[in-house]
Amino acid sequence: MSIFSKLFKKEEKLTQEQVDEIEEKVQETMEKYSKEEKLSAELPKHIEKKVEQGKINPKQKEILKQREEVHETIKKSEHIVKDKHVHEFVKTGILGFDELLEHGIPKGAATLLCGGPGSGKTIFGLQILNNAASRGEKCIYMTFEENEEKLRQHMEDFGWDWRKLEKQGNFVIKRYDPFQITRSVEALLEKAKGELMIDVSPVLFPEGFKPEWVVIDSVTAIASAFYGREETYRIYIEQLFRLLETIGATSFLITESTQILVKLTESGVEEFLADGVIILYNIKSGNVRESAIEVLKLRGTSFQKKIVAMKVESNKGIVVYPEQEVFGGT
Amino acid sequence: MPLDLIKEVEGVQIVLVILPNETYSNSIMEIAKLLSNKFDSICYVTMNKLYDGLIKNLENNKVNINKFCFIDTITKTADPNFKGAKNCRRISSPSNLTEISLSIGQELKTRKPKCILYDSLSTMLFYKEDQIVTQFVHSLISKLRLTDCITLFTALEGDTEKQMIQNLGMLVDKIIHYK
Repeated sequence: MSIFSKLFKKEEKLTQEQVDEIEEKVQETMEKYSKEEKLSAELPKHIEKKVEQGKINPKQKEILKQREEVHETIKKSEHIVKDKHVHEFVKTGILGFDELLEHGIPKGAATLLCGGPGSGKTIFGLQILNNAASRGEKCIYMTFEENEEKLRQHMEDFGWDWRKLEKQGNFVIKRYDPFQITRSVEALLEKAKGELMIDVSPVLFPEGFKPEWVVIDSVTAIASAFYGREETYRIYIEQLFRLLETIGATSFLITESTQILVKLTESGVEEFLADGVIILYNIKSGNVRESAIEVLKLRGTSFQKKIVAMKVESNKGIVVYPEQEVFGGT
Repeated sequence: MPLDLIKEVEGVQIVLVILPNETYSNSIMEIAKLLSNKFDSICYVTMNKLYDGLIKNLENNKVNINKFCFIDTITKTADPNFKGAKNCRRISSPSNLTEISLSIGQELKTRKPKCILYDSLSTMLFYKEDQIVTQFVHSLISKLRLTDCITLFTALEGDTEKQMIQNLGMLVDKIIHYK
């Protein structure tokens, strides 16, 4: 029987030797915790340097330090994400697209959907949700740009019965004002008095709705609303990815890029946090444009690394041709 | 003695047919007629004649159009409202090589034509640079070689000095100068 077990048995008396041993262990433990606390209080060197050089004020120092902790948490959680979902995959149901992936999309993955104007990002998002909701899975399309009616009209154009899906409670299109989000996040930050672990979920999902699939259209619109508050945007976007991970929803975050792809997102933080990146192209080819698609990155599964043809077809939506190379250009 | 085209294509699958500039229109109709006499199902890829005009031309030359399906790359450029026809796939533009390749692939899967008449590589060069057309033809030939479909690519005699037509010598089984 160990010393600690004896402590809880009142009938047994301890010898002086045992009491000394306990005191020694308590002392050891206290020293260990004091050391860890000291370490956590220490500033990372690059922040310390900025303080010394007078580049940042005490408030900025505190924010940077907390962000450092957020980054550490994200880094630590990356492998968890990789390991957690590696055995479970989901299909988008988009004709030809799933053939580009070895198993499908890892369940719970957050994937960026990048492309220029008219490349088919919204249709891609709506189509995935239409397919999933038709299978009885809960889906939400969160729009920060187009209004709900316009999106419903898009669905009708392809013969997707959003009324039925909404009635069944499997499909929701919800419009958000990105500036409202900005204000809410700032209020939450203020309320949390510098604590960056804010809970963004109240400003996002309808009460009681736990989605399995989420499309956010678009991260670019959210970023625009945070113009001039880039640091707050980064905090928000990190929290958003954390939230998506927590609820385990497979999500697609639409980002608007330039027609000729130079960079995927303005801040660069999204592609770092995302598990996957899908790019939709709208390549100028003489007097017309050709559509194409590429899976650029997808953690936890193998995929075909090539740009392949894609078409938007009436009554079908997007159809991907995994074997068809693209001949865009002049 | 006139060239026996059908005999020339026996035992080969991918052929480049060089047509005289002066008699191009008549020659292409003659070839269509010869092919319709030999094969039951032919896919005509047109980059020169609009669908309606082509049908009239073929009928005037007493070609059995029931044996043909068409991939029309130009009517939609002239008439955006053109909806195609039961035996015709419409392409948005002759520039859209991906769409042309996809449509040929779909025809090969669905109607399974025994022969393709591709009219013409010379016209493709109006729209695309040599290198892209060569890549396109190379890719298309790879697709065709997986089938037993015989394909005739046509080009004008005046273009034989062009790099792309010369490169094709490596890719096709035979070059026929149609006189």
